[in-house]
Amino acid sequence: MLKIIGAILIIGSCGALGLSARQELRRRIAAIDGCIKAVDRIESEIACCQTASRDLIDLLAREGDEQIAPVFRRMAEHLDRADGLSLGYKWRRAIEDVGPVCGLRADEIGILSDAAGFLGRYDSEQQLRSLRLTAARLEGVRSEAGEDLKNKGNLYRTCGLTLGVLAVILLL
Amino acid sequence: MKDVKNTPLNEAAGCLPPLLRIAVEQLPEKTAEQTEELRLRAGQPLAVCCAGQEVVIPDTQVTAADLRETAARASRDSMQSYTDSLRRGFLTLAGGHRVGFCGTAKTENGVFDGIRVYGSVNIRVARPAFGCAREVYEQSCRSGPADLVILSPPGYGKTTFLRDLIRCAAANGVRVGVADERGELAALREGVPQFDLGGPADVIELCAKEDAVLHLIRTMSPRVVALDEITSPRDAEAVRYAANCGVAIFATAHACGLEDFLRRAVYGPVRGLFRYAVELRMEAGKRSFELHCLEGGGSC
Repeated sequence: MLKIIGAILIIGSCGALGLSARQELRRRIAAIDGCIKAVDRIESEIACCQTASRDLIDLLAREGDEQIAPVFRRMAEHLDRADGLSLGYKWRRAIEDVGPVCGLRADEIGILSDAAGFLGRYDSEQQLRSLRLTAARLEGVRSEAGEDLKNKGNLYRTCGLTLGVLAVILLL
Repeated sequence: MKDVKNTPLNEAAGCLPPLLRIAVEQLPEKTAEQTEELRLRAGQPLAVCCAGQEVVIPDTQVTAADLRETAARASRDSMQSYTDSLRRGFLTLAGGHRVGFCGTAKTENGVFDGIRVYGSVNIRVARPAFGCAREVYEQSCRSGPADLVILSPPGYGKTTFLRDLIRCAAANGVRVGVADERGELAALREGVPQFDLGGPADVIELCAKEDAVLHLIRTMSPRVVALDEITSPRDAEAVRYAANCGVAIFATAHACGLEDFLRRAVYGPVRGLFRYAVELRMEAGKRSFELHCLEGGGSC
């Protein structure tokens, strides 16, 4: 009886490892989706209301996608400090610090950091053009992440379970 | 390290990138007090303008990136929110300081649509000059507001003088409508004038003078309409319209003196409307004025 319980526990924990690796890939996709929504929102706000950057960030921190809202909350905190540092610097800092915690990886962090170079620094039309490019780049990364999930996600889950079964066979 | 005082110059320099801002904050006190403008040109050192003279700040170098950064900071990193103002080539800072831009122009259907690449930036430091027009107001408006034009070449303080004239009228309970086409007289920021206009003044800004005057008269029923810089026949038409509506006019015009004003064709339609002309002068950095009565002729 004990052997059966032990075997189930081993297979279960190894399977959980595989599933959590798969879950990470899902989380990344959800984070990228959140970023795309945020970029869309920024685009609409600039196009329709010419909303100030500070108000935009507050808006995304408050009403944005829950997965990446912490990034914008951190930005808002940085902006509250009157330290003379530019929005671009604070934007980059917040994305690099909080992005990985929200499930973002280097590719999408890089794309979002590049947005610091134009947000609030050019007229509406130039910003909108750059935002469209950012959204397109994010879509590219999103489809790569989707492929990853399809290919590696199932692999991680199967590997986890197989590893568990192997460990049980070896131990028996 | 030198303490940074909260002066108009330091307030205006707040939109500069850190290294340039520090260079301005460390200017000798006398130079800082006299500084009227900060001049930034790509590839050249930062310069300050004191009494019409440009003085270079040594060991400074302005780059194109500095100009872009200045523009971004001046707009509080929200250039998209100042589209209309930027189309006219300037931004107004808190405190009424004016940031003007020059460089490669952007056009749409052949019409100027702002600056695409910045080549130079001019920050005009706003300093209130309370009471500079009191004497003129007391002499010319004893029996009520009179039509008055302020004359001088650029940079002599016409706008500052006109602003004080508005304050004087407001202090006497006169309701003034301000047609602030370039946003220099009141410098509204979120609807609040950054310059003290003394109370009962209604401002319409960033709107052609003829439309602004019409709108003010229709909606605010002012006793005086103040407008800065009559420069085109349409501006002159706006002045004529206001005069025909029975309101007094306080205006400014570019001219090297009364004779120059009377000679220039663009002022032809409004020449007979003004009862007084104030001629501003500057000698060795000191400003003075002379009030002319245009009805009887000669100085007052």
